[in-house]
Amino acid sequence: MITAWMNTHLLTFVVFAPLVLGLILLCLPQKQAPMAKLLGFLGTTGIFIISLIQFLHVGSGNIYVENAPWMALVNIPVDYHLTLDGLNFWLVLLTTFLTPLTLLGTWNSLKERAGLATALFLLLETGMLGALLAQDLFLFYLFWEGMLLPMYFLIALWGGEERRYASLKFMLYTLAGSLLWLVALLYLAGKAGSFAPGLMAQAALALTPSVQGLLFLAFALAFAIKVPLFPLHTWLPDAHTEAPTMGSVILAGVLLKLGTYGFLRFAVPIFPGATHHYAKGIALLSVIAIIYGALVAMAQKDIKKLVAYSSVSHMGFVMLGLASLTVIGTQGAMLQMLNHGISTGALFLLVGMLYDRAHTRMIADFGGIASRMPIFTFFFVVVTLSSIGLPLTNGFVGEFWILNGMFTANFAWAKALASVATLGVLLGAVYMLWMVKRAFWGPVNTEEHSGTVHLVTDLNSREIAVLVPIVVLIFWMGLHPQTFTAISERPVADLLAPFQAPRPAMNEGDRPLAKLALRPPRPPHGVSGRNPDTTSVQIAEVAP
Amino acid sequence: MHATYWLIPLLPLLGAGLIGLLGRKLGKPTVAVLGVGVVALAFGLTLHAFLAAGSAPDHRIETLSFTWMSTGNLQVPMGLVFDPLSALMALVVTGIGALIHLYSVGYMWEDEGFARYFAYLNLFIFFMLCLVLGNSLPLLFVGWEGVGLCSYLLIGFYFETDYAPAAGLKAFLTNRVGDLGVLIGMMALFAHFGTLTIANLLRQVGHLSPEVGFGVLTFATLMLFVGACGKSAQIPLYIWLPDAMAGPTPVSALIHAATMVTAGIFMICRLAPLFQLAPITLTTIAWVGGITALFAATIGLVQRDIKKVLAYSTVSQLGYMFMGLGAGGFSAGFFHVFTHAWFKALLFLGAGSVILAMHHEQDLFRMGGLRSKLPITFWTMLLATLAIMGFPGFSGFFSKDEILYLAYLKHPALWIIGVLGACCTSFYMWRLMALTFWGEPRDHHAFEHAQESPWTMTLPLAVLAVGSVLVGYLGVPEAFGGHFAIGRFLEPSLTFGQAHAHAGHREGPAILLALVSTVLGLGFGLFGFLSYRSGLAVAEARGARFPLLHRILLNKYYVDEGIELCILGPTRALGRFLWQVGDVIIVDGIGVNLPAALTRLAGDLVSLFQTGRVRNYALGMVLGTLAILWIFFK
Amino acid sequence: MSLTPDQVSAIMAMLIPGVAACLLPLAAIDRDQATQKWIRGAMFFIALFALGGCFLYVTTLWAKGAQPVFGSVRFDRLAQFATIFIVVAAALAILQLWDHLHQEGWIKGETLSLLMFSVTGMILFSSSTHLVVLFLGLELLSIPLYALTGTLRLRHEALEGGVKYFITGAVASSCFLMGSVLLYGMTGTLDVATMAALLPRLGGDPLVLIGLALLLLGFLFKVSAVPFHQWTPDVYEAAPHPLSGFMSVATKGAALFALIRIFPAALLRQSPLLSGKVQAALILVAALTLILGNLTALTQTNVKRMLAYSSISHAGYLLLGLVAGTTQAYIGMAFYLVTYLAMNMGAFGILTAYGLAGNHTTYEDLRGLGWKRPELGLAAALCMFSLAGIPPTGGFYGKYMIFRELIAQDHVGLAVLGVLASLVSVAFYLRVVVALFIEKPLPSAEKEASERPAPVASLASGTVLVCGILVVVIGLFPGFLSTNFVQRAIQESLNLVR
Repeated sequence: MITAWMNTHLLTFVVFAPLVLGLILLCLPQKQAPMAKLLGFLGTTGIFIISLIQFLHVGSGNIYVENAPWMALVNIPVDYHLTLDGLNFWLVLLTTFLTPLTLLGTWNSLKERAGLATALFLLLETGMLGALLAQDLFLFYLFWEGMLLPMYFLIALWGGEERRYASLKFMLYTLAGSLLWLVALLYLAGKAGSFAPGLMAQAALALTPSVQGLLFLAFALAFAIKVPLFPLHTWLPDAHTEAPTMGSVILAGVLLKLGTYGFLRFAVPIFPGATHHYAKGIALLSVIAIIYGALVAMAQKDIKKLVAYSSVSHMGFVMLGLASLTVIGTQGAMLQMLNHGISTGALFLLVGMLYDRAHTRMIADFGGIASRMPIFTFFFVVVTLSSIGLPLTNGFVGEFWILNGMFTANFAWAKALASVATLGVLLGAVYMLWMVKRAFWGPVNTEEHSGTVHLVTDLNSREIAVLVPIVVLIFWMGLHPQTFTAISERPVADLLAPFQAPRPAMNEGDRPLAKLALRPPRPPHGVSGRNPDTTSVQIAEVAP
Repeated sequence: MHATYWLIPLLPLLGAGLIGLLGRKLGKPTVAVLGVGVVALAFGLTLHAFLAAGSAPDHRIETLSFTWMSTGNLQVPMGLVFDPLSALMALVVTGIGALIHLYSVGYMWEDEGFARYFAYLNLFIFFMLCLVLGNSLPLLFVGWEGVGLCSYLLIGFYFETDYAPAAGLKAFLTNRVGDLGVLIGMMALFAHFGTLTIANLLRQVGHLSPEVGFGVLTFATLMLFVGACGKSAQIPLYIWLPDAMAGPTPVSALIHAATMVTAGIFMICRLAPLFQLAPITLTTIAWVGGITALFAATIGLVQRDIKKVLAYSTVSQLGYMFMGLGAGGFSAGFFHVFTHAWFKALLFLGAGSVILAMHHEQDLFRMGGLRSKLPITFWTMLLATLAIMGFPGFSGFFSKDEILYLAYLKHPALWIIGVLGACCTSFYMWRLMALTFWGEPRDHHAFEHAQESPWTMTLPLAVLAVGSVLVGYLGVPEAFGGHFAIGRFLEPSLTFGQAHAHAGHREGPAILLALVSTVLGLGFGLFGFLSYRSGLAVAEARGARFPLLHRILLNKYYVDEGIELCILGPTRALGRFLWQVGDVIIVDGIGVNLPAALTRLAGDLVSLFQTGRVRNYALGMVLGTLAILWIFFK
Repeated sequence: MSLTPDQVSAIMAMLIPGVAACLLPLAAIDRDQATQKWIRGAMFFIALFALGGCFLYVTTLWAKGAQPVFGSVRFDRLAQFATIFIVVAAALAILQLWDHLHQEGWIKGETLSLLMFSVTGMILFSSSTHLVVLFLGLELLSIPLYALTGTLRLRHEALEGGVKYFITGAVASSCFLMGSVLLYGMTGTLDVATMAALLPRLGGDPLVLIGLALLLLGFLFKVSAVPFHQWTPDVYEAAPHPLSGFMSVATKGAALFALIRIFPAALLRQSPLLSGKVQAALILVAALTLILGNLTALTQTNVKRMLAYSSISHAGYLLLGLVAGTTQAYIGMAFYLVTYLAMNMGAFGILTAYGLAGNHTTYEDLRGLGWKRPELGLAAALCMFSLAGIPPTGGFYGKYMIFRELIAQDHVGLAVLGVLASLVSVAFYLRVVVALFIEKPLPSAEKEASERPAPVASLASGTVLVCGILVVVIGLFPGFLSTNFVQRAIQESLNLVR
C-alpha cells in the first residue's frame, strides 16, 4: 500500500517528507535538541538513500512526472507538476546529499535551539527540492519564495554580529528581484492562460521583441540576484559571513544554483530570442564577476568572507557557461554547479570546524595550523585544490568545458572573453593559496588572541566521516564527469537547438528575434502544459 | 601486454597513496623501500615499453582506456603513448627519478617528514609520467599542473618556516600564469581543429589551409610557449626557480634540474609539427631562450649560495635548449635536455652531499678545501662541471655545440649570445668548484665534522657521473663525423610524417665555431678557477672595482622588486579598492543602502502630514475631494 | 404580506445582533464583585450567542443558496458573505476583548452593546442598494464606533481619538448624505439599482459628478484611503486593541462590499463615461494610499500605529482591485479581505495575548516575547509574513489575484508600484518579527516581568493561534476558499443585481 503510493508519488514524497519531519521536530520541546538532531539526520539520510536508489532508474533515459491540476485562481489554472529529468536530476540529489551531510558536519556548532535550527533546515530542504522539481512556474515561484523564510530565520537567529542587517538585506534583495519577476510572470501567464513553460514560450513568441526583452530582463533579474551575478552580488558576502555554518553550506551548495537553474530551465526556453540577444551582456557581466569576485576575495581578512567572494567568482563561471549557449559550455555549467556545491560547501564546513575550535575566522589570527591539525590541513588543501580547478579534481573539468564553450561561442568577442576569463583560474589560485599560506603554513602563531593556539584537537571521526565522501566525489567528478553530465547531455542539446542555427545578426533587433521565433523551443520536458490524466508516474522517454 | 603499461604511472601513484595515507605507521625502512621500489619498477616497465615501441611499426604504441571527458564535440580519451620522444623522456624521469629517490633515503633520513616527503616525490613521478606519456593535451595538462602542485608542496616542504611556503606559493602562481597560456592555447586549438588528442592534431596540421590556419597556429603556439616559459623558467617567468631552492636538495635535483623544468621543451617537441608551421613563434622562442641563457648566467656569476648558482645555471641551460628549439633543432634541444638531466642532477646531488657534510651550510664563502674530505663528491662533481662547461668529449660538449651551431644558422647574433653565456657558465662553475673544494676551509668548525655521505647518496652520484660523461656519444653531430644518432632516433615523433623537423641544409664553419666557443669556454673556466682558488680576496677586489655592476648582479637585476612594485602591489591595491569602494561604497552604498535610506527619509517626510490636528485632517479631506472633482470634470 | 422562510431568516440574521445590543445594557447592573464576575461572563456569552445565532441563520441561507430580497434590502450571497465576515470579525474581537478589558481593568456592558449595534449597522450597510438604508447603516455602524474608540476613557488618547473620529466621521457622513441627495435630485430615485438605468441619459452632468464624488468620499473615508485616512492612526491607537482590529477589518470590509455593490455593480454599470472617471479617481487614490501608507508605516515606533498605517496600505491594495474592475478582481478583493481578517485580527490580537495593555505597544515592549510563548510568536510571525504577502501564507494570494487582474487590464505600472510598496512593507512587518525573536528584552522589561507574572490571556491567545492557522491553511488551499465561497458570493450576487 505505502510502497504503491511511493511508486506513484515518489517526487511528492521526496519533496514533502522533509517538511513533515521538520514540522514534527518543530513540535519537539527545546530540551530535546539532541533527539531532534538525530531524527533530522536519520530522516534526511533516509530521504537521500531513497532518492538515490529510486532515481537511478532515471539514468536509463526515463523521467518521473507528477502532474495534476491543482487550482484555478482568477481563471489561470495552476498545475501541481513535478518532473525529474536530466536538467535537475543531479541538483536534486546534491540537495538530498548535502542536507544530512551538513547536519552531521555542524552537529555541535549550534549551542542553543539546535532542534529549531534543524527543523528550519528541513523546511529549507523542502523549498529547494520543490523549486528544483517544479515545472509549473507558479509552483516554482511558491517554492522559490518558500525558501526565503527558513533561510531568513537561520541567518537572523543563529547569525553573527551583523545578523540583523544581513538577514534583512538577504530578504529584501531577493524579494526585490522576485517581486518584479512576479509582475512579468503574471503578464506572461495572462497572455498564455497558463503557467506551463511550454505554453508560455508560445505566448512569448506572439509578443513584440521589446516586450520579450523586458520580460526576459525581469526573469533575469530575479535569477541573477540569486546567482548572484555582478553587480547584484553584495547580499551574498554578508549573508554568508553572518549565517551559521549550516546556512552558509546550503546557501552556497544549493540556493545559489537555483538562480542558474532558473535561467536554464525557464528563462532560456521561454525567451530564446531575447536570450540570444542578451547573451553577450550576460557573458560580459559573468567575466566581470569572475575577475571582480576573485580580486575582492584576495583583499579579504576573514576566511569565510573570502570563500563567499570566491563563490561570486565561481558562479560567474557557471553563468559564463550558460551565456555561451553552446552544449559544451552549458554542460560545463551544469557540472560546475555541482562542483561549486561540493567544493564551496565543503569549504564552508571546514571553516565552520575551524571556527568551532578557534572562535575566530580572521586569517591574521592563524598561521601554522598545519603543525596543529595535520588531518584538517590535508582535507582543506584537497578541497582548496578542487576549488582552484586543479586537473583530476572536479573544478578543472567544469571550468575547462565552460571556457571551451565560451571560446567556441558564436558571437563577437567570445574568444576574447574566454581568454580574459582564464584569469579567474589564476586569481582563484592566488587568493586561495595565499590564504592557505598565511593561515596554514609558517610557524605557529602565538600572539595574544591568536586562533592557532586554541586548536588543540584535530578532526574527530564524525568530521572525517563528513569530509571523506566529499573528497571521494571531488575526484570522481574530476576523473569521470560523464557520470554526472551524461544525463543532461540530450536535454541541454534540445534546449540549445534554437541557438545552433547560423548566427542571426542580433544587433538590429526585431527581425532576427522574429526569425528565431519561428523556431519555438521544445518545452523543457516531455509533458507540457496540463494534462490532468497523468497523475501517476509515467516512465516516458526524455526525448520527444 | 600493453594494458600493463598503465602500471608505469599508476605504480608511483600507488606508492604515493600508500605512503601518504599510512605514512608514519609504516616506519622509515618500509617507506624507503616502497618509495624507491615503485619508481624502480616503473623504470623497468618503461624500459620494456621503450624497447617495444622501438620495434613497433611507426615506432609508437598507444594504449587507450576509458573516456575522460566527453560532451558536445569534445572527446578526451585517457591514453598513454610510447614513441621515441615520450619513451626516452619517461626513461629519464623514472631512471634519474629512481636514483634521486635512492639518494633521498640517505639525505632525508633524519627528517621527521620522511614519509610525507616520499609521498610527494612519488606523486611527482606520477604526474610527470602523465605529462610525458599523455596522449592528449588535457592529459598533458594534468601532468603539467600536477607537477606544479608537487613542486609547490616540495618547495614548501619545511612548512614551519617562513621562506619555504612563500617560495612554494611563488613557484605555483608563476607556473599558473604560464598555465593560462597552455589553457588558452588548448582552447584555440580545439576551437579550430575540434580535437585535443595530440595524434589527431598533428595529423590535421598536415592538411591545413594556410590562409586561415597559420594565424591560429601562431596564436596557439605563442600561448603554449608562454606556458613553456612558466614551466621551464624563461624570461620573464623564471623568477620562481631560484627561490625554489628552498626545498630539499634532492628535490631541486629531480624537479628543478632534471625533469619538471624541461617539461616546456618536451611539450614543444611533442607538438613540433605545429611549431614548425609557426615561424614567428620559433623566432620568438629562439631569442627568448638566448637572452635567458646569457641573462641568468650573468646572475650566476656572483651568487654566494651554492644552490642559487646551480639554479641560475639551470635557467641558463634551459635557455640554451629553447634557443635550440627556436633554431628549428628540436632534436638538438631535446638532446641537451637529455644530457643536462644527467650532469645537472649530478651537480645538485653533489651540492646536496656537500651541504649535508657542512651541516646545512649553503654559503660558498664559508666552505673551501673540502677536496680531501669528500673525495667521491669532489670527483663526481668535477666530471659534471667538465660536462656542463662543454669540455671536449664530455656530454655537454656535443649537445651544446649542436645548439650553438644551429643558433648560428638562425642568426649569428644568437651564436654570440650563446657563446658569451657559455663563457659565463664555465666561469661560475669553476668559481663554485674552487670555492667549495680548493683553498683554505673558511668555516673550521663545520670543516672538522664534515665527512663523506652514506652509499645511498654516493652510489647515485657515481652512476650519474658515468652518465654525464658518456651520454653525449648518443648524439655526436655530423660535423664531428658522427651522425647525430639521437636526432634520427627521435625523428618519427618530431616530424610525425610531416616535413623534416629541421630543414637541414647545413653549411657554415661548424668546426671553427665549435673551436672558438670551446676555447673561450675553457679560458673563462680557468680564469674563474684561478681567481677563486686562493680565497675571496681577488673576488672582493674585483667586486669593489665595479660596485654598481656587482650590486646589480648580486640583486638579480632587481627583477623581483620590480614585479612586486609593478604587478603584485597594484593587484592587491586593486582588490582592496574594489572591495572598499566598488562593493562597500558604490554597489552597497549607492545601490542598496541609499535607496533604503531615501525610502525612510520619504517616510519621515510624509509622516509630517500626520499633524494630529483635526482641522488639518478636514483640510486633507477637502483637498482630496477637490482632486477627485478635478479628475471628474477634466 | 407574508414572509418566506428565507426572508425571515434574513431578517433574523439582521435583527439578532441588534436585539442583543439592546439587551446587553440591561444586564449591566452594578452589583457586588462576586455577582459582577458572573454578569460579565453572561454579557460576553450573550454577545457571542447572538453572533452565533446570526451566523447560523446566514449559513443556512448560504447552504440553501437562497438570496431573499425584500424592499430595498438585498440579502444576496454578497450580503451573506459580508455578514459572515463581519460576524466572525466581531466574534474574534469579543473574545480578545474579554482578556483586554481585564488587563485594562475596565469592564462595562456598553462596550459590547455598542459593538453589536455597529455590527448590525455593518450588515445593513453591506446588504442594501437603497441610499437611505445605506446611510442608516453607515450611521449605525459609525456612531457606536466613535463611542467605542473612547471606551477606556482613563487614557487621555481615548477621548481625543474618539472626538477626532467623530468630527471627521461627521464630515464624511454629511458628504455621503449630500451626495445621495444630489443624485436623488437628478434621478428622482433613491435605489441605486434603478438609478443606474437613468444615469447614462444624464451623462456628465456636474451635479451628478459632484454627487458621485461625495458619495465616493463617504465610502473612501470608511475604507480609510488617502487622503481620507488621517483619523485612522489616532483612532486605532486610542481604541482598545481588539476594537482597533475590529474596525480595521470589519469596517473596511463592510465599506468595500458596499462599494462593490453600489458603484461598479449598480451606478456605473451602464455609463462607461462615469465609470472611466471614477476609475481615474480611484487610480489616484489607490496610488496615494499605497505610497503614503507604506512609507509612513516604515517610520512608526508604536506597533498599533504601524498596524494602522499598514491597514491604510492594505486599503490601497484592495482599491487596486476596484481599479481593475473585473469580476475576477472583485473575487480577489473578497479573498484578500478574508485573509486580511485572519492576519489583521491576529496581528492586533498578539498585543492582547502578550498582555501589552495601555501604551505599552512599542517595538521595545515586544522585545524577546516570541520566545516566552513560542507558539504565539510563530502565529504572530505568520500573520506578519502574510501581511507582507510572502508565500506560502494567505496574504500572498490576495495580492496575486488583484495584481494579476490589474496586469490583465494593462495597469502594469500600478502593479509595479504595488509590488514595490509591498517590498517596503516587508521591512516594517519584519521589524515586528525581529523584535519578537531576535532582540533581547530590555533589562527593565526583564525586571518587570520577573516581578509580576505575564497575564495569561487564554482567549486572545486562542484567537491568535486560530488566525495563524487560518493564514497558513488559506495559503495551502487557496483554491478551496476562492472556488467554494468567494467566487459564488461575488458572481451570483452581481448577476442578481444585473
